[in-house]
Amino acid sequence: MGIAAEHELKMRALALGILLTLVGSPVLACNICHSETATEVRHQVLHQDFARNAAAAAAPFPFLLGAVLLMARLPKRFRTEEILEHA
Amino acid sequence: MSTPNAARPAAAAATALGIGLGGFFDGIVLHQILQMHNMMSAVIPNDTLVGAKTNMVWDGLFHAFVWLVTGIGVIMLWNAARRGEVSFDNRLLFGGFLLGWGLFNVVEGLIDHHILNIHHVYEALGPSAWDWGFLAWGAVMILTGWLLIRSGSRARAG
Repeated sequence: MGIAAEHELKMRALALGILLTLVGSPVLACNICHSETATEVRHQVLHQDFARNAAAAAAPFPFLLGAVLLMARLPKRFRTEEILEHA
Repeated sequence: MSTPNAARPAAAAATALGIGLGGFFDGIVLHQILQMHNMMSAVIPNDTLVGAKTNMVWDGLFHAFVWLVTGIGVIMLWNAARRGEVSFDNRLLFGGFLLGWGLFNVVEGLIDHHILNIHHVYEALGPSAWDWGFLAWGAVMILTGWLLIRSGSRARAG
């Protein structure tokens, strides 16, 4: 195979690759893309109970952080009691 | 000699990290690898491309919160390390991990699986024994973690 023929073959493969990418673009669904799927996902996330779902996803975390805070804060109270005991 | 209270800063930091471990285990293993459920899978069915991707967004938000708690744990551990009187007995670390992981299971399980019903451990079955198993697993971890922390605190104090 000559160099020109090989070059042409590579160009055709590249063109085919680009074409396949374009054909696939409607299902490209990164959530900031302009595809039908992405638009539907954005709509479902932002316009169907967004506040309720966000609150539900976040709900356990204030309790968990509260438990950690409680553990971290307890010693200070105990230390005060110890100081008073030794005074 | 340290007091049992010298154990608290490291134990609290390890507990925050344990919550992170539990949250990431849930998110990575149950949501992503096994795909037994997603964050909103009881209210947004995940058997279509759009449904699965919408759930993926809410899974992402959940992971962001878990990441935040983990970051707080790292900062707490760093601050504890800078304080000279703090105990770093191994039992405090592993006890904190277990306590935090167990807390995650119990709190997340009660709120998401039983109160809000936004997903269930094995979504294909809906509310099931899997949800109660998740809570029981958490309760065992809390108990084991608490005993380990108590043991580590006393050993240091003695």
